[in-house]
Amino acid sequence: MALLRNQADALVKVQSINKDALEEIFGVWEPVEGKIVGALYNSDTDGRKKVLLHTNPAGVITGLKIAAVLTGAKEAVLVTDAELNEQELTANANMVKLPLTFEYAGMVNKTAHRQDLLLSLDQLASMAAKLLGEVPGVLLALDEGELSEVSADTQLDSLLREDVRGAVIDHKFYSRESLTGKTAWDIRGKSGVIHTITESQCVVDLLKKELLKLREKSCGKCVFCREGLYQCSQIVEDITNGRCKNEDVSLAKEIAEVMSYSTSCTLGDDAAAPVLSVYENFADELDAHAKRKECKKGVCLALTQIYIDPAKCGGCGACAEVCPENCIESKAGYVSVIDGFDCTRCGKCLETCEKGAVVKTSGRLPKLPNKPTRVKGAKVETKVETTAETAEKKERTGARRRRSFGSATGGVKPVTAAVQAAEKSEPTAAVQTGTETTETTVTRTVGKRKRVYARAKSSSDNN
Amino acid sequence: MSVTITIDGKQITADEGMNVLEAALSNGVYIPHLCHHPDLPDIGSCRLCVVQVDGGEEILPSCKLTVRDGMVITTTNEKIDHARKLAMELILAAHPEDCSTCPKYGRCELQTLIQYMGVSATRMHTRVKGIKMNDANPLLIHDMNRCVLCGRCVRACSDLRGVGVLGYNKNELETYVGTLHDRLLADSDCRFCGACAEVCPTGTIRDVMNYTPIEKKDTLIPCQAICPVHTDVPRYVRLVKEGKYAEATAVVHEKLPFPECLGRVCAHACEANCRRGEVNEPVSIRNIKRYAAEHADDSIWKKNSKMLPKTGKKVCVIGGGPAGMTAAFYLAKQGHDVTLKEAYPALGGQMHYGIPSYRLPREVVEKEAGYLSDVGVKIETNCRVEQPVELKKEFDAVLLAIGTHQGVRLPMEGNDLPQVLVNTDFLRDASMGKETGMGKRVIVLGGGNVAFDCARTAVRLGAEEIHLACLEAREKMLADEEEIEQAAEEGVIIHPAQTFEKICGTDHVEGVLFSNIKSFTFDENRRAIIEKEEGSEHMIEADTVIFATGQRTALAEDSGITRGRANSIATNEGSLATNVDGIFACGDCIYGTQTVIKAVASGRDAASEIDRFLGGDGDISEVLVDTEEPSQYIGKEEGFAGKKRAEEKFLPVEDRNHDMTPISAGICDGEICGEASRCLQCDLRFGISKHRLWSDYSAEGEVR
Repeated sequence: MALLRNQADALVKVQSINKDALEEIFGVWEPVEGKIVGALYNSDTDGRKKVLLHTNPAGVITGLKIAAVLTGAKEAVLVTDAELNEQELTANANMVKLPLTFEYAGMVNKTAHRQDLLLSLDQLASMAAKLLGEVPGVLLALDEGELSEVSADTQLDSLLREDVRGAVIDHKFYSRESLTGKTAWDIRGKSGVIHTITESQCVVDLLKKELLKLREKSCGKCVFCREGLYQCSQIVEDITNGRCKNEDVSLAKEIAEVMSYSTSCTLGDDAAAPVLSVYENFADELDAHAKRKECKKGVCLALTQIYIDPAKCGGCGACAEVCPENCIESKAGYVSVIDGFDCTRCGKCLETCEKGAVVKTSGRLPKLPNKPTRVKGAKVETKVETTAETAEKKERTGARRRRSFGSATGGVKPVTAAVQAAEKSEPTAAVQTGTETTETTVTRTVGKRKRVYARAKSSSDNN
Repeated sequence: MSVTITIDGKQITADEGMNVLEAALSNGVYIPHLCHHPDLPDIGSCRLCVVQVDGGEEILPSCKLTVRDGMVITTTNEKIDHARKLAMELILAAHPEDCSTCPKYGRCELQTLIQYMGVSATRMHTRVKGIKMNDANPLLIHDMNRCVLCGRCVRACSDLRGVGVLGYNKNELETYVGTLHDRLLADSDCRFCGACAEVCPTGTIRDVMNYTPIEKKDTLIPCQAICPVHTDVPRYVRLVKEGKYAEATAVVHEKLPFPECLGRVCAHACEANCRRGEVNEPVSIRNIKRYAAEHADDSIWKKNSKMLPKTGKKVCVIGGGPAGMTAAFYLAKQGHDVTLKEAYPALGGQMHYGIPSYRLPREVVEKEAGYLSDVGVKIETNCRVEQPVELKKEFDAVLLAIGTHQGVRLPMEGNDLPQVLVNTDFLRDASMGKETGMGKRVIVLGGGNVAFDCARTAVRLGAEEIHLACLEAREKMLADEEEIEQAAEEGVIIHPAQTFEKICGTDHVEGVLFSNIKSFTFDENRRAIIEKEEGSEHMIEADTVIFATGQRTALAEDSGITRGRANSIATNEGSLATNVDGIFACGDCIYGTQTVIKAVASGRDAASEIDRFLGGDGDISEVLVDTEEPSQYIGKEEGFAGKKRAEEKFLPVEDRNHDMTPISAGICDGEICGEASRCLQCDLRFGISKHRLWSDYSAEGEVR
């Protein structure tokens, strides 16, 4: 942990060492007309290495002093947006007789500092370590984890968990395969943060977020960084919404390619990396989104659909009850139907269904009914209807009819045997006395389902 | 040290240290560019000027490449063109598509680039930035929707001017140019020099006033434009700021001969139009001129004063007022033999016999009238000319500059009573120290500057009670505010909005009868329509009435010179010639009572025309002091916009009333530099290089 501890011994050593001795360690440096600037890279949107200013002020100052001696620069500036303990840093600087000023800004203005030498904070700490004869490591952090120093030859692959399928490092998207063989040394210097990509994360969604991070930090002064990021951002957003045009997918690559050599600072240099690296390392995932409107991870909600499998649905209606948007149409014994337009893909119905009939998918949907249909292989029990039950059914129908027609028709009482039987409370057969009644049940086949129409009587029963 | 480089196969030489773009442009080779400006440091943000070097693949902005001997530059091939085109598409994607409604249409550099490159943003996701146009500032509009973020305004303000008011701000994800914390320009110590508007390639930062290229100078330097003789106001104000009073006076002398007189009494239309007035208060230009004239010696301007060889032609100028004196002065310098005939004992015209000496001391008039003898004008005073046509026998040309020295006596009852005086006679008599016929209680009728001159002279001559009555309402009174206020301080009782009914009294003045006016307008025939208040008649008692209601030219009916309106002398259309060949007229006598400076302008025109008439070229212009190139770097001044106008120092009222002691001491020594520093230096932006279009560069390498 040489870099993260306060390298006070280096600060002491640098006071008594001369330029020639320094050149033996660090080589001969070009003279600099301006100052030495210590800052984080403009492209560093994570800013973790700021911590060096608090934990290792001596190392930072030592590095600045070494650089000043080697280049002949007269003073040093620290550019940062972090809150500093100015007193401590100035005290350290005074010890080595280095005039030091502070500039509070998130980015180094390359034009204003065009005559200065820019060195990153960990570079300065590494120089201090080298002065002490140590071999500095590389500062790394994994996602939200602590910044730590690892040896330069550490294999990055070994740092990642099994379920990690890639990583975003300094705005570049790496697949697991493309990381093989890469060491900590390869990603030294810049942000040092490895953002892992897990199985449940969607790369295109992460791309959209990465572009937004860059746009937030961009100063906006040069055309390609400012407008190029905007265009790429819009195109990627269209891709995640399923609204992108074919030409736009190649346009984003075209813009990113030119961006890679047309910007003015390190943020601009990194600005093209997200698009280019995704197109290269995750081409399949991108294609699926852009061409087939498919997000396998189910993250891009506009490309995700939730539907109810008619084969599995039991028609219980539990999903409809939990739906916050009320976009599930259901009926007892009927297959529920989700309205894809209103659905917000919240997934509550999916959690609720006990039959696993609610399916979340992306890409092409199977053919689905557009309104509730009877549950296939009706779950209703097929029992034999007794004559009494049939008679009861008739009575109910008749009673309904009587209610409607009743006294208005002059008190005609359609006396059916069934009614008489019912009044006498005697079970009777369906066959009546007197007139022959033939009941005909008319059934029609509608689609695949049989629908039972009303039973028609073929004889009149009027007295 | 010069360097030779090759651009697209063509060899050009450039100075060491130049960048490739500068080298190309100065040799007539056009490379498209937007953020580059010849007067500003290059930042390489627009990426339109990209080139390839020495056959390499790398595409670099030529404005960031220093020339090196033997460098080979390619400005166009497939890859470069693609990069350039893409840069343009990206710029246009964020720019509104309404060229036709933009005030910069036809003068927009972006438009010319679109024309040259043939690019549009159809492939891109276009956007409108949605920034509201900022017109809360005086003089400048910020329409950030149209901004292409070339950064020229930022660099112009900080690097060229050294002020640094504009910077890059960011609101959510949108970068825009603005002041710190989006303050108003005045609160950010803006100097309102207009450099930002001058360099802006689009219609983003522009002047509030719209103008065509021809109108630009007159609109943006209104002081110089509205001055009847077009003195170079910004230049002499700057010289006074630098303490160079002799040079400043010389600049004034280039256009008029009497800076000291005018420094006291000029009607200063320049101040009324001063652009500083839009910021807080106008610059006190007249007092600055006075200070320069009073603190300078005549060394510089006299040394360089033009004097052409004798022509042998003789000119007679009739009238020794500002118009006549100016014409005589310039005609003599053109080499003619000039005789000036003045009816009264001293030269000066209205400057001596009209404007009271407490405003314009006679010594000053005398001193500046002396310049005429210095250039050889023969002066004959006490010499009234009755028949100007007669003079044609002796002189090759005659100029009538007789002014309006006959006061108007309004037709009303009692206007011929003995104690009824006329403005011109009253002021003339007072000037000459003669008995004026004034009593103790005076009523002055009229509301203009002359009326106030009469009233305040009456105060100093010992009148006990002085009233001044006029037709106009208080706000509409024609006299200067300052005159009215000072008169009131000195005890003059002012009665605005009165009609003059009659002068009361049978054999001597007893008073004047007035009615109050309800409303007063002029109809289309310039006749007054007055509505009186019923039953408001009242009399103010007095023993003297002075008419100060206008002046006419005094020339006999039978002079043979055709008249115009109100007895003025008629001149031909577009000229100062009268109906008599060889007789010209200028000054108040042709257009009625106006200002001294207008008379000077008229005198100059007359001198020019008469010189042409006599065979010269009519060019009376002269350069009296070397032109200096003012520094474009003006620096930041805290609180610049709020700096108040320096007060003219007047004598306190108690010391004023008794005699004709001059009442104004101008601006004091300690404040003069500060006052001159308030000037916005509107002329400075004309020193910024103009942008050149692609059509100004020809294939042969010539630059138009």
